[in-house]
Amino acid sequence: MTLSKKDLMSEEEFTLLKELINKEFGIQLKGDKRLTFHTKVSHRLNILGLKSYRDYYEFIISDSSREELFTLASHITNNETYFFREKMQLEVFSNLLKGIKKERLKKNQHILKILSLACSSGEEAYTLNILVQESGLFMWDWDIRIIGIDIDKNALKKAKGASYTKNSFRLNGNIDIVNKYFTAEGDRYNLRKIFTKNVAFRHGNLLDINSFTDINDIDVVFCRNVLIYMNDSAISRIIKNLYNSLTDSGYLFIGSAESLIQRTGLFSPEYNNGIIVYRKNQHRHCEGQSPEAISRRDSSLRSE
Amino acid sequence: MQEIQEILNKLKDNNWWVRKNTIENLLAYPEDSYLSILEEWLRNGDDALLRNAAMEAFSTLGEKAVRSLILLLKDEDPDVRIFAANVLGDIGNAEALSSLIPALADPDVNVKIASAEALGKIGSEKAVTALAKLIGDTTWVTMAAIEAIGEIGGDNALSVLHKCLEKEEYHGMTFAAIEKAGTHHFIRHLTPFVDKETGLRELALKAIVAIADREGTKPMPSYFTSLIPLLIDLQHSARPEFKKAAFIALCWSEDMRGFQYFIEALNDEELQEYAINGLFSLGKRAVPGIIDALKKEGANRVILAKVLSMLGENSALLRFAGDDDAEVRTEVALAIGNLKTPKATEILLLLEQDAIDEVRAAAQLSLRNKKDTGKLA
Repeated sequence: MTLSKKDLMSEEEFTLLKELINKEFGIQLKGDKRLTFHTKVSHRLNILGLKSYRDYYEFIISDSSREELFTLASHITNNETYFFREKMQLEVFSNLLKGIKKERLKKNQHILKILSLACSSGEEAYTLNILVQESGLFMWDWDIRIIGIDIDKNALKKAKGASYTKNSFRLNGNIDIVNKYFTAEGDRYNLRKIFTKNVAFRHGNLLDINSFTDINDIDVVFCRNVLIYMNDSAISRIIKNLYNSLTDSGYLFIGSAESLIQRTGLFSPEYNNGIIVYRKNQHRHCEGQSPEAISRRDSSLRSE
Repeated sequence: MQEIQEILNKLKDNNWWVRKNTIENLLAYPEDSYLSILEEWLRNGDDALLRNAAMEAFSTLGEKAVRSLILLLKDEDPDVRIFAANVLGDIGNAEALSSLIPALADPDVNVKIASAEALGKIGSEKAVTALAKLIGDTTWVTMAAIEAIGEIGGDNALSVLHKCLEKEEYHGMTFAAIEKAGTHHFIRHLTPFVDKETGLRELALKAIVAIADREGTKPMPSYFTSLIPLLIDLQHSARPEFKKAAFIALCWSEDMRGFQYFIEALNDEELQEYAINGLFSLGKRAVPGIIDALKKEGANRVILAKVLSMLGENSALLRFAGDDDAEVRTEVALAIGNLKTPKATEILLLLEQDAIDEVRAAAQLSLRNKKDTGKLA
């Protein structure tokens, strides 16, 4: 049985949609991925009663609400996530909490703010909350805020429900995590209420500065396995948004297959137990300025 | 002049980012005002900082630096000549051809290699004959020449590479070059090597797959029949490039023995596209396995559900109406609209109440279609 790509979607249609996604979200689809695209998006044509991907493209660009554009993006992005993913990074995160608390206390603040970007159905955001609570460092009188942002409204709905199935875990037979943090109900695992508090979710595009409204003074940002899908200009924009969101002593975690080295002057890598964590370079607030401009301004600040 | 000197001094900064911005600032000035200074820095073998700064600047200046670099290709210091050849290759300007071809006869072996690599990057067929003359020189020079010929490609390049296949000691490098330059007509020259000893067959297979994939002319499934044990064996290879080539071939083979590898690869962004094709090529034979895979944790259930639907296995999807993933439920709702059973209607009515808009929309569409079909009947 053979499958003809061109019968599903012409090269021209694929290029139109690929460029649209690249322009709007900075997401790069490398190579000829028409089959993958079709498996993820074809149902939209059915639901909307459209006959071809060309019609779908026209529909999206004529939709002033941009709803369908976001729906498309949510379907083509990779939603793979699970609780306690990349344990070594999470261990480093746990080890940093003591220092973060110290920094906050120096400023006489009792607040801890964490951002989980491209959070999908919330497994990462809740994992971070569990680790913060398990650390026992922020128990009394601390305001803990963990914010998850994603482009996929359906995934966010699931995140808010905090009810999962075995697909949200890689248990390999070990059910300790499930027993400790979840209550089982049939084939569902509901996160215990105590671990859902402090966590909030919001819809947003990481490229859009408006998605970061009111998000500042963050202690730790997790933005894992996002940048690998992005074009260079999108990466620069996201990095600037992250830079502006973090406190001066803040930490940025990206995926273990990703790197910011020689990509930006805004962050520097720090090695911690074999894991790279990024720290803000010691500049002031940055808004679309070159590091040189920041350095210039910094030196003028010093001379004042 | 002092302004330029100040900017140039910033090139010595320890911060890579500052140096990068400095070079960008430099581009606003006429090149005559700074190129001779950079040339001097590059020739200054005693000061590594200056030399590195000049190298970085030349590399970024691109086209503006070509004339200086051609001049530097004749410098008495071989390190300077090597650097000039490297950067000329990166810039890729054909103006450098007439200087790089004579540099293939440079007394310094590293300059020869750098010039060959640069010619490969420029990619002009005019260089093939000169490069072919280097084959038989030392191993490293031969390797650079063959690689460059592969980069350049074209009929002349392929006929040189075909000849290289006659010499056993050139096999490794030649297969890599053919992988880049080969056309589907050339595959027949590679096929005999697939039956040869370990090492050679993997290289040949990798070249065949790369050419066929690039040209969109995959061989018939029967081409791979005798190779299936090898392709499966290579799925455990420590060399990812061999593993990938064998996987693609497995996807083209339409052989059920590849099934489990197709399922695993659905979560691999790089292989996903081939894996979907592979699964689909198995047709109905794949259905029981896909249903099993849909029940397992970590499987890419959205794609699996879609493949079932594309294979027309709509009733098989009924059992996944309660899947945790809304995209799977959407697919189920669309697929079972064609089923004329009370069970399908019952499930659609349930999905019509789903918490997710998209699932509800899909269920409503299917119910509407059912009604319309009923009326027509």
